[in-house]
Amino acid sequence: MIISPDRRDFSTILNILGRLILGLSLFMIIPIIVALIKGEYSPLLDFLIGFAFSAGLGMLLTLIFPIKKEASWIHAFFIVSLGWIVFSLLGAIPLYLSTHFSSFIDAWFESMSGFSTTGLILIQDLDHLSISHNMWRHLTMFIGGQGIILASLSILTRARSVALGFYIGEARQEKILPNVIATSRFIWKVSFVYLILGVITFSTILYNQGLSGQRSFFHALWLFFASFDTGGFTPQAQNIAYYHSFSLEIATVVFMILGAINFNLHFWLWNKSKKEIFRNFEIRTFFFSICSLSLILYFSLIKMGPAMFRKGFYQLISAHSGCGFTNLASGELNHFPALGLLAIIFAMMIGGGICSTTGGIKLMRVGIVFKSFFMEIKRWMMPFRAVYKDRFHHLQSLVLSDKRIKEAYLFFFIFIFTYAAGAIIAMGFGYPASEALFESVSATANVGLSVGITSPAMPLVLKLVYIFQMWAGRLEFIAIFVSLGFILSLFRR
Amino acid sequence: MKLKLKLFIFCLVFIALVTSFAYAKASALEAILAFPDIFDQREVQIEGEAIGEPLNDAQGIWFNISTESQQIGVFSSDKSIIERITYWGSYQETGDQVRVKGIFYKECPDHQISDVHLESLEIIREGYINEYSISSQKQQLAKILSIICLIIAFIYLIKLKYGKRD
Repeated sequence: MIISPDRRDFSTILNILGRLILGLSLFMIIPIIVALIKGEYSPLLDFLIGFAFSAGLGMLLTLIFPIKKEASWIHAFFIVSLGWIVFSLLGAIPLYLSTHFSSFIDAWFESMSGFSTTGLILIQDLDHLSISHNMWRHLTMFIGGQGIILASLSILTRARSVALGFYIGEARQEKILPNVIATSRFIWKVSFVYLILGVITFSTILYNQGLSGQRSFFHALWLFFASFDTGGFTPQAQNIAYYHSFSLEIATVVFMILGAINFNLHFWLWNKSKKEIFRNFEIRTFFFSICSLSLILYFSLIKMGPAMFRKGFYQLISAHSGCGFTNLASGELNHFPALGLLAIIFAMMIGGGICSTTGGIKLMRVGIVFKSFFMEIKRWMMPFRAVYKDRFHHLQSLVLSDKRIKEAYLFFFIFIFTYAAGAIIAMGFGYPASEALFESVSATANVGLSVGITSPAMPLVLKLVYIFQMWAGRLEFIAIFVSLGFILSLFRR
Repeated sequence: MKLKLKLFIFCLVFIALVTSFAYAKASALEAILAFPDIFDQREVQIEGEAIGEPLNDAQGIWFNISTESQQIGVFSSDKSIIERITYWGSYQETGDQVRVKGIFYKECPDHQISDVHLESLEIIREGYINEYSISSQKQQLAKILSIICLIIAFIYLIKLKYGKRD
């Protein structure tokens, strides 16, 4: 039986959404403080407008729509889907007011790109953007990476009855601790420890390079947000290439990989066994995938000579972790040989660990798809009556059950379909197939590397398609499908 | 056969035009990055805004220049040359417009990235400190929204204190 919503359901949904919007508005206080400290008065007004509008809307929704029903998972899924759209729209207000965007859609694109930790940009004249606006751009990645809803839940103490629904709705399949709020707080704790480590590392490198103390701190903070939350924004238009620092590139590789690892594995390594890193199925899949794709990249970029390692390997890690940092000049990816570009597309498609900040199909599912393929071959080679089940190690020894295989294939095909659909739409606008596929995968897998299609001059429809892909890819479709079913059931009544 | 000959001549003219355009007009960074193979290890001249700050390197110093749509790093083994640049592009400042003459490397043998090794630097136009005026419309909007938000917050807090809990 499909639950058909009524007015009480929508009242409950809008009440909880209002509280979450209120939570989001509190994050806008950070750039307000930065603008005040730095004396950026015009940006200060942008954030005051954004804050007043968001906080007012959040409180108004809570006042007008009381909770009339016990919130269930279906409500949670609907709130997650709607919430990410509303949050990105509200987050776009101060960005649009900065006058660095040619339209509100462009600002919304940037905001969705930040919240979904994608990193594709439509901002113009980034090198002259205020510190407070840069703070907000990078903060959206941190909030989005940790999970907006969970971020708000960590601040607001109510509406916890559906916390697990929110958690799964935001594309996290695994709980780390029995309680979801405790899990979300653990994720925040891990992130804050790495935040301190990251800021110290990056600011030391940048300070030695000649950046002032304050500028080193801000850049280090933003680079941490962008690398650990695998977002890919940077405060300069040249991205990582701006810094001309090999040591900084190595440091970002470390934090990109840390961000791409399953938070559950972080918990295991911190509190239980360090040996897990050598046995973990996701890590093994990651290692295998990196090695094989590096080999492809090596043969395709061999003409480059030693530059191949700095140019090729960095893009590969950035693509695989879903970060989107680049040390290449603008448009340089276009000059990569087709095979090299394909290796990077595959890396983007796969992504990082489940329960991490990365997008894409995810290592676990790709690993299961491959393992099930070999299991099937083994099964055909065995006697007819033999019962055979393969196992894999992820924190514990697990059976490769039919349910797991079915789930992995389902996500695998939804992602492949979305990658292809986005590419076909871009090709319809006259872009070459390889570039269209690259950009579509980059948007859906929340990576942010670009071959040049993403620009303020691109067609409006394509901007909206990429916004959809970033949103759907970040939430991994299920919450969106459930929400669509929720809406469609209204018409079936 | 005639068609092939025409195509060949067209290609030759196109390459010649692109090359001459890049050498004749100083700010042709877009052309350099669009056709890096043509300009690789050749002398180029680029005009653009100095942005950010100078960045230290063991063998010299880096700075970045930005044209309307492209940016590139310039390396100089002579650290003192940077002192000629007064303003660096950022939110506070519009950087000096500079003319850089140097060798473009598609894959620099020293740095393994695309860059320009500086031969000469000329300041075309000095930058300045940016002054931002605050829009009166923005001020009005901020005031109105803040008042509305405060009123809603007041009602919200009253309801939170005295209202029935959900």
